[in-house]
Formats: sequence, C-alpha cells, structure tokens
Amino acid sequence: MVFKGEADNRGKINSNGNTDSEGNIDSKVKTGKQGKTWQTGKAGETGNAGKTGNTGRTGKTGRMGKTGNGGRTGRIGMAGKANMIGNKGKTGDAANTGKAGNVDNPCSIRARFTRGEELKYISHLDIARAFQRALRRSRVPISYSEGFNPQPHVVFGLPLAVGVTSEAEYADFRLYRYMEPGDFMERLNIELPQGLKLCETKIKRSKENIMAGISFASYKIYVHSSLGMGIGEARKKAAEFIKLETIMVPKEEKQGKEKRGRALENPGIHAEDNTGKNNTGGNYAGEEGGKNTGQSMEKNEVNIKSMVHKLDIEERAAEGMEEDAGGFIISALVSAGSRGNLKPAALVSAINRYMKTDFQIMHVHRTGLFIEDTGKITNPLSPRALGY
Amino acid sequence: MVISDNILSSVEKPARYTGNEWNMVGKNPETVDIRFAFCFPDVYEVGMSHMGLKILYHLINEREDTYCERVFAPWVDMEAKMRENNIPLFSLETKDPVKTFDFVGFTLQYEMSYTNIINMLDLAGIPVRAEDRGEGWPFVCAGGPCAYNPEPLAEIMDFFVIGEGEEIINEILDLYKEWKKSGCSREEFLGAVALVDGVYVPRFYNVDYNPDGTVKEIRPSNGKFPEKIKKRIIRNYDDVYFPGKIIVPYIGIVHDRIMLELFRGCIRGCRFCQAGFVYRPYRERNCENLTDIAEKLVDSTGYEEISLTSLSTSDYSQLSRLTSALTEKMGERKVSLSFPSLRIDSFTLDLMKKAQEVRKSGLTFAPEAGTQRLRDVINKGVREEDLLNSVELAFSGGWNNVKLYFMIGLPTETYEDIEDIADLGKKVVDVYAKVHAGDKGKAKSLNITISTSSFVPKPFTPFQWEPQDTIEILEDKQKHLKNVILSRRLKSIKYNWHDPELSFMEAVFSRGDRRTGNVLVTAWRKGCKFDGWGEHFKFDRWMEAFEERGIDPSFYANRKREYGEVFPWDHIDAGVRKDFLALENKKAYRGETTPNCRMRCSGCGAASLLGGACLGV
Repeated sequence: MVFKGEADNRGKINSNGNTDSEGNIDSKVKTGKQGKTWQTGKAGETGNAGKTGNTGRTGKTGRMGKTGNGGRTGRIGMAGKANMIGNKGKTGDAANTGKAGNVDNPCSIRARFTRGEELKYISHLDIARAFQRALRRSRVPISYSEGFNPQPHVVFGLPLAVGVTSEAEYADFRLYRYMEPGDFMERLNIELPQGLKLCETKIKRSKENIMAGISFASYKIYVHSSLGMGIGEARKKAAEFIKLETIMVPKEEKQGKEKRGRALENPGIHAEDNTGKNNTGGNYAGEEGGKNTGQSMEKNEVNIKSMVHKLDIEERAAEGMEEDAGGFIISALVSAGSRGNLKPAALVSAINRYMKTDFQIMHVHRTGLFIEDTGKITNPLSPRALGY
Repeated sequence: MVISDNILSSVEKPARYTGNEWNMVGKNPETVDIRFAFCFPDVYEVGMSHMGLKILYHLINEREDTYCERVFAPWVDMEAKMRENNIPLFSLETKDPVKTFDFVGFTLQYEMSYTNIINMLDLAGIPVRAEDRGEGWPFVCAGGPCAYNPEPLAEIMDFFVIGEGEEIINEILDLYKEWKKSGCSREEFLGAVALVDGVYVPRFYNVDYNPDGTVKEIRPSNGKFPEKIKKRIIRNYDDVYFPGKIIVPYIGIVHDRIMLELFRGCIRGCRFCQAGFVYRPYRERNCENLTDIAEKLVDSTGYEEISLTSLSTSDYSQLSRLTSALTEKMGERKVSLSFPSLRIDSFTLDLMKKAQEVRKSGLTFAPEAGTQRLRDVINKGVREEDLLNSVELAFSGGWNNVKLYFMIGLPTETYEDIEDIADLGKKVVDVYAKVHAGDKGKAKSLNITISTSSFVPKPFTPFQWEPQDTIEILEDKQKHLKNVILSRRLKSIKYNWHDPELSFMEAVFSRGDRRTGNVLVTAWRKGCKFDGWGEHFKFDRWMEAFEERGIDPSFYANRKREYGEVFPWDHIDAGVRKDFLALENKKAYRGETTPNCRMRCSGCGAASLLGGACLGV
C-alpha cells in the first residue's frame, strides 16, 4: 500500500551543543612561581587506591562510595566517605605529590563553582563523577592517583545536600603541568553540564586542601509560615533566638547504610550469607552528615548555640520574588565542616522549637563557604587562604 | 509538564526523573513530524545500561523529522506520587505525556518486565489492549530478544519488530510519515506496516489450538500477509551506524561505561543460550573502526572505562590487536578496559595484563556445569583444565576474587553433576593454596563466589522442547549443593542462588502462547510489577492469576514437548531452522558436541539471512 504524500528528507541531527574539545593542551609554563611549594609525598601513598578498586566491579550503583573510604576527617555520613575522589595522602593535596605530580611544573588550582537548579537533585558523589568526566573530556592536564584505580586529584569543599543549590562550592584541582587558571576555567566550563559552572579560579600555593579548611557556611533558607506573622515579628524572633544561652536540638541519627540500596545487577538472587541480598547500592540521600560538637545536656540532645554565628530574616518579596504571604528568607552563617556542622534543616527546626514558629523549608541555597584563619572568617580564595 | 520540587524531593533518587544528562538530545517537538517514546520497562539505572537503547535513541534522532525521547518505569515511590497527583507517564527529554507521542516502543529484554509494560501503559493513560486503542492513540510496539516469542504480548502490542532495530526502524518511520499525511485509518497503517519485512502485526494472525492445549496452527487472516515473519539483520555490520556520543547519566547506573560492541552473534552454540542462536549469524566490526568509535566516545563522554562487549568477547578475531591499540591510546587518559565475557579457555596472560594496565578488575568465569559430561551435553566446550589454568594465572597475577557461574536443572542433570560443582570449587581453592603456598596471610584472603541460576528453556534453542525442573526439585538441588559446600568446609566459597519461583515464571512466559497474555494483565491488576526485583515479586498473586484465568503454568514450564509440536513462535523465522535445533537436541542427549562456527559450518540456516555464507565459509 502506498500513501499519498512526499518522501522523507532525512537530515542531520541537531542535538545539544557539545563543543568538540580536541586540541592541544595549553602549556604556558611559568617557572619559578610555584617552586618550592611542592614537596614530594611519601612514595606509595597515592597508590593505595588499588586496594579498593575491586569493589566497584560489581556494577552496582554507588561504586564510588565504596572506594572513597580514604577520608581522613572521620566525619560521619557522606562527608567522610565521599569527599575525596583521589588523594588518599595524609597531608592533603598539595604536599602529596607522589610520582605522578613531578612532571613539568605541576600546580594546584582552587575554583569556586555554582550548582544550579538543573543539578540540584544530584548527590555529592554524582557531582564528583560529573567533574571527573568533564575533566577527561576537556583534556586539561589533571593529575591522577597511582595504582589500579586512578582517580583525578580533585578535592571538594563541603558536600552539598540533595535539593540544595549553591553559588559557592569549592574544589582544588591538581595539575601535572601548569595551566593559567583562567584557561583552565574556560576549558572545563565548556565540558561541564548545565548547572555546574566554575566562576573563579586561582593558583593555590597553600598545602591545606579545601576540605580540611572549611569551617563555616552561609545559607539562604527559603521558608514559609502559615501563622500570619509579619516581618517585624519574624525579625524580633530571630533576634531573640540568637541571644538564647542554649539551643538544644535532637542529636542526629546516623543514616542507615542499608536504607536505599538494592542489588541492581542480579535481581532475585539469594545469598547464603545474605550479603548478596539487598546489597547496599550506595546511599544517595546526600545529606551532609555532620558531627555536632555542642555540649550534651541530655543524652540525645546537643547544644548548637556555638554553631549559629549570624541570623537574619527578611521577606521573600525583598528578593523581587512573587508575592507570597508568609514567605521569608532566613540568612544564616553556621559552623560547617569536620569540626562541627550544622545543617539548615536542624537550624530551622531549632528556631521553630524555641520561637514557636512553623517555618517550612521551601528551598535552601548556599551562599558561601569559609575557612577559619587565626580566628577570622576567610574566603577560600583570599590570598591568605591560598598561601600567597 | 513540570514535575514539582515537592514531588521530586519526596522520592528517592529524583535524578531518575529529571533528565538533562550530558549528550541528551534536545529538539523542539513542534518542528518534528514524528515523536517516538523509547520505553524501557524497568528503572532508569537498568534502562540506561542498555546498549540497544543508546544506539536506537541516537539513530532515530539523526532524523530531523523525528524526536526520540526516553521513558523508564518510575520506581514505586514515584509511581505512587504520580498516581496521587494525576501525573501521566512522561518522557525525560520534554516531560511530555507519553500518550501524546506517535510511537510508544518497548524493548523486551526480560520476560519478568512484562507487567511493567502494562503498568507503564496504564500510567500513561493508554489502553493496555491493542483492540481498545482506536484512532488517535499512539502505536504501541516492541522489539528485542523476547520478541522472538511475541505471543504473550500479542494482544497488547500493535506490532513487533523482529530482528535488529537499526535495520528496520527507518522504514517504519518513513511509512508512518506518509501515512500521517494521507489521513488513512489506523487499521490501514497496521496493514501496511505488516508488509514491511521483519514486522509482525499479531491482530492479522489467528491461532488455533489442539484439544490437548497445544497450538494447532498460526495463520495470517489474509493471504497478503506473510506466513512467516523473517528476522531482519544488518548484513554489513562494519558499516552500520554507531553513535559518536552517548548519554552520560549523573547517577550511578548498572553498567556505567562505554560499551563497545565487537560483533553480533556468536560462533559457539551453547544449547541453552537463546542469544547464541537468535543473534546469528556472526558478524564482526573491524579493529580500526572500533578503535575510532572508542576514541570518539571517550572524547564525547569522558567515561573512565570501556567494556568490550559481545556474547563471547574472546572470540573476536582481532582481539589482541584491538586491546593493544586501545591500551596504547587510552592508558594515558586513564581509561580502563574490561572484558565482561571471556571464555575460560581464552584467558591469557596478555589479556590479563591489558585489563590490569589501568585498573584491576574482578574475574568471572562461567563453566555452567560441574562435569565434563554435562558441559558436553550443553555444548559449552570448555574443559576443567581450562578453568584451573585460568584461575592459576589469575591467582598468580594477584587476583583473589573469583566468581563462578553455573546453571542447575539442565537436561540430563544428576545429583552427581551438582556435587561436582562443589568439587570444582574445591579444586579452585586448591589452586589458590598451591599458588600461595607458604604465605599464610594470603590464604585467608581468597573469595570464591559460586552462583547458580536455574535453567530456563527458551524458544529458538536446542532445548526449546525440554521441561524445566519443578520448583521443588530446583530447591532441593540448591539445598543439596549448599550442604555439600558446607560439609566440605569450603569456607572461602560463598554460594548464591536464584529464586526458583522467578525462574519458573520466566519459563512460563518465555514459551508462553497468546493465552498467557491474559494472565499478565490479571497479575498486574493484582499488583504484580517489578517482578525481577526480589522484593516486589509476588508469587502467590501470580498463582492466583493463573488460577483465575484457568491457565496451568506447568503446562508451559514443566512439560516435555514432542519434536512435531507446533510452537507458539513457529511463525517467526529467526534464521536458525527448527530441524537443526532438533538435531542439536538429539546430539545433546548423546553427549555429542558441535564444533563452533569458525571450525566448521553446521548449517544452522542463519547464513540464509546474509544471502551467502557467514564467516567466509
């Protein structure tokens, strides 16, 4: 049977613009500048990634979670496990040069990047993997760990919870050959997916890696209240809250490892010792798992008073957003990182508890991450933080 | 359609539903003539691991007039939210409702995903049965390995594509475009597409049954339709389209790597293996061509691993050249190679080094059966020495993690064959002890996993006439093997086994006829879905469904067929002839092996698809 009509005229695909990144690696070498900053790490320190390499072979989800156990901060939850995609050394990124780093003036670049709406549902592990693949596509001279399971030397600041956007994420990249930070940014941005973008890059001379340094985080927490409270009242409550002597919150439960995993590869397999059943496929809850350092007054409660540094509240309309009665934005500076980490959700539930409010979190946006430098809150890209 | 944050943040792994991955194809749906929903009836992580999807997705999207989008089965938490909020099944690319598409195409990889197909259609708001879809509904079609016996889904699908999708899909889309412009009826399109070689439109074929319940005859309702639907294949496999970029997911998926398909088909002819027969004839891709594809894909994806996939990777005639070329090119970029399907008799030091070059991977060997007698019955062709030599090589190379795959319930199997699985495990342990003699620390680090699946007789194999062991027998055999392993104190051996109830269901639907389709719908109504996921498999509900529909599942699973029986899939021509399969079946009972296609052509019939001889024989 033949239908009436024209024959097809097939054409070429017009898919999303994926720029071809082939080309020579930029190799403007600046000697002398880095010079002595680089010390050679103990031989073999970078090589132990190979031991964990086998676990990833099963093809289950979350393979990176299993290989990432080298974290040295001992933080609970995701942070301790997954924060590093390479770099298992003891002294952190810069000092742990090992074999691979000793080529042609290596350097380290610290970058600030954003995570937008497009990628807010991606876990920290997945962000790390997205970077890893963008790095390979971009052909920047990233250095890799030794061993059977080479990982790029990238260290991330503080993991971002699933659902949270950010304008201030940080990562340290170690390159085996010098590259202008601006060129690095440009090259990598071409290969980064929508929702991830480097905004600032600088050469890092300090030995301190970004993960070890982070001590504070600032957030904008978009909340909603149904109490009919005005901005004046909300401000008053915020001011009262910050003056409290003690702020007790329930201690966070460790997240069950088995919670979300399941064996993907062999559905319906039973195992003699049960390890093959419900095999954990990695936990994608993506929470920031933090250790509360506040004093414990009651057994299951901790005092977070010392972790709340600044608190402000304004109307949502103040940001030019749609009219929303009961919509507020809480701006907060809280402790973050391995020495104490306060999650926005815990802060808001503490406010609700003490101030008798009913704030519901609509969205969380991270506005900053900071390190502590002799008691001062410092931007990770400040000259001091970079070791200039 | 926009899926709200409220919903996304309340389900696990919301990135399963957000799309926007690297290399996703973006098009303006307003400017295309045809919208094709490529549906994989399982969750994102499983579906995105499927190579056929990647190839067809990009192939269809090469057409300017068509937009192919992906649809996966939402996990149960998301499904609940969607039903609660009246969100119909949507595509990842545009989030548009699937029911607004022109085609809804499912890939059939696994019988136990059939209830998910029904569930997805329902979630899309599309009538499940073909007869209930009048003018204006999308055409629902299916392809893939399970389409070689399309009958259980015959009343659900408008048409099936038999054979290799790359070969047929453009013809169907061209025809559709003409039809759409013509304003002709739905029935007329189906009548026209039924004349495309390799397309099966079940509504034009009638089935008659014998009093004993077996099929008497399947005939086209009109003389213009072909009596047999012949599988379509790519004749020149070297020239066939392969995408230069593939989608890179954000979340971890089952096979999260580049899959480089070295060849189609298989030269081996293991008698239990459906893929080994339905993908015949054997066709290779050239080494240089593969190296080019691999490089392009690494450039466009940034993947850290390339898997050399095929049914039996080591049978690739240029494997050594290919692996050398890839190692040379990829080592510097820290891209590793993996070999998922090496035959035991092909494991060499050379290959091992190449796999190890960048990353050390776990090793899996599949002897399939414990004794040489039984391995000859199934035509596996490997010997015990091959396995022991290979593991010795592996252990010397530093591996201490070995998986051994076996099948239980094979035709002619005895309890001695089962015991010999444990014996073989013991021999592997002994090899390890020998390799690491004198090193006490090493002795403890050995991990051997023995996995047994249960034999499922499949259409288009020499064992298509065979009964499956009953669930009780399979359980007893599993128990026996477990006891033997325990009694021999083989502490370094872990034993895994498949759920025999699930294997039973697979056996029913792999050889099911048109009547079993009703059971699928009934079981789905009773809540069956995600049956392949242990936690969701509801055997009792399935049994209720069989009872309600008056269908005896053991008639399909546990019955030995006569050579003369007409099968529900006899109107499908997969190239390999039924009399050849019968001959192979007889040889199996005599314990006679058949040489592989490279050694000697056995005249299976697949060569006819090429219009000449395969492998230059």
